[in-house]
Amino acid sequence: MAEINEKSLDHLLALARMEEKDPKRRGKLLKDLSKILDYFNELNEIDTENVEPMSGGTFLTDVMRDDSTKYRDVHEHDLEREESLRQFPRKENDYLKIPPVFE
Amino acid sequence: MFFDSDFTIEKYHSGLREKKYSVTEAIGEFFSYAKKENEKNGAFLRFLEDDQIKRAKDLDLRLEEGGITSDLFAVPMGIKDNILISGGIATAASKILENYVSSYDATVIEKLKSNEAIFLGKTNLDEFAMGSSTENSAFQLTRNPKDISRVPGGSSGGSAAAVAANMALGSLGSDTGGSIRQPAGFCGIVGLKPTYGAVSRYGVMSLASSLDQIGPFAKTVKDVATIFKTISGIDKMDSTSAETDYSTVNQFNDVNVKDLVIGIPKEYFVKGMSPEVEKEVNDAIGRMRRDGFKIKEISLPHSKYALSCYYIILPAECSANLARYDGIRYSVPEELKNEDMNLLSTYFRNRGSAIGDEPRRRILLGTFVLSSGYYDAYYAKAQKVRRLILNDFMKAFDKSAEGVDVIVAPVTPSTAFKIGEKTDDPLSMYLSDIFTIPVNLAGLPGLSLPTRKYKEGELPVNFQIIGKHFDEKSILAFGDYYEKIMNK
Repeated sequence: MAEINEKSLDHLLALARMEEKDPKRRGKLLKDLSKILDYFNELNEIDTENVEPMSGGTFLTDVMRDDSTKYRDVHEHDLEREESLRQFPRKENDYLKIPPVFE
Repeated sequence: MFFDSDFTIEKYHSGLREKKYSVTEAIGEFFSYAKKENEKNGAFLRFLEDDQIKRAKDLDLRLEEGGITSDLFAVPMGIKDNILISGGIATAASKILENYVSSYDATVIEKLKSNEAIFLGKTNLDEFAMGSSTENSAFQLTRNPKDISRVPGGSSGGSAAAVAANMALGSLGSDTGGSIRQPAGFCGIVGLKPTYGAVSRYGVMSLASSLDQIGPFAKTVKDVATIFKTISGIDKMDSTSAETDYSTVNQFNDVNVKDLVIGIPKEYFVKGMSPEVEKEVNDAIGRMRRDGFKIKEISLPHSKYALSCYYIILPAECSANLARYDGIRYSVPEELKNEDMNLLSTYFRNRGSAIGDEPRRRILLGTFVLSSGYYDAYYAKAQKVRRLILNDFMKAFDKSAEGVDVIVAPVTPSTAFKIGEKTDDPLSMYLSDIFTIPVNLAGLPGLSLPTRKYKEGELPVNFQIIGKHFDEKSILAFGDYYEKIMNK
């Protein structure tokens, strides 16, 4: 159905926000991914015309809650502000610190 | 006594009642034994001793006052390290989370705490639960207690090894494509993958959200059923959890076991199975037949496509679920604390260097099958094949068409393989889950249990009992019954 080459690997790495420059590791990735994609070709044997896709693991249907605030309910599980701050690795005073988005 | 393969929760509780030991004494012994064994098998990534010894002392006071008041009172357990315990480190065996401290309890942990279980520690796994041997952990190797030159299976290999080595009386794992049933099989213990929706997923790090389920390991079906009863139930923090009643699921008296019709899927016995697995599973079926069970051959014609279907759907979901791990949130690995880079370069560097080979492979595969131009050929096609796999099972279970009640099948095509045997070839590693994956795709429950009692030095073989959605009571009752006839 499709193949992955050096160029499309770069595209995928960019989409997934992952860097990989080492030629040996790139070669292994290309080889493994191509082999796995080849394996998928067996799916072409199956006629799936008019089959409804199964898009999740559950048979439950969506339920809507009443359109009212559930302040207390939400806060039972809401993290304390300090707890949220504590689990963020870098911060300054009470602010979360991240790398600059623009140069 | 504590560390025998037939020392169960029931025996442990009897000892407490008869005052043969206090909770503090017992838990102290479990910690020292587990820490010693861990040097041989590496089942645990870290122990929670200080904190839990304190809890054990409280439990002794409770025992004095009111006796044993809950099913898992003081039961020492191991917890897979992709499940959150508030205030403790949770890494999912990944470098990118090496110093992440959980800020809340998973729902299953809340339930175990209110049932007064003790957490010995967090167990090893394949990074982000991706793998079938626990060799993909970024931190350490776990060895199979039955033969330390072999893998314990995966991805919940640490949780399986902890119970198999008698370090814990029970443990929790997660099963996305076989990650409870396969390691239970390699280590020769009992493991349950519940129906999708039976157990809340709140607080387990998501791998593939439409497939993941948390489930228990233990030495017997009875103990597995008791842990399952405790952790199951609807949860407002997981909208896919379902309203169920499992309050008597560990009693086994709601089901007339001998009336169950057993289906044997012919597609599971055709190719790729090792002779010893084939023999042991056929012996198990023979035992059921001799005991008077009604056994029927059934067909699940799309089984052979399950592996392809799964390795499209799972990477697609995991590529989205793992997008949040960027080395900025949660935890920053030591060697990546460089502040001079902009956001985009930080993403590329952190995700490029702190995510291991297998997650990286699956993220790229998922990105590929979801990308423009390939979506219909791969992802949409796989979703349709998933429906056909579900329909196969629904037809087999259809009572109006003389369907069966439970399905009996092998768990893995081979016994535990050697450490390093499959690490270079991802596809051959994937193939070790060929019998467990269809159950996850269809959202069904599956119980993995030994075909017989294995002697020291023998490699165990498990089989699985697959049930209808939310019919854990039948597979557990049948499993409990089978344990009584397994040495006949």
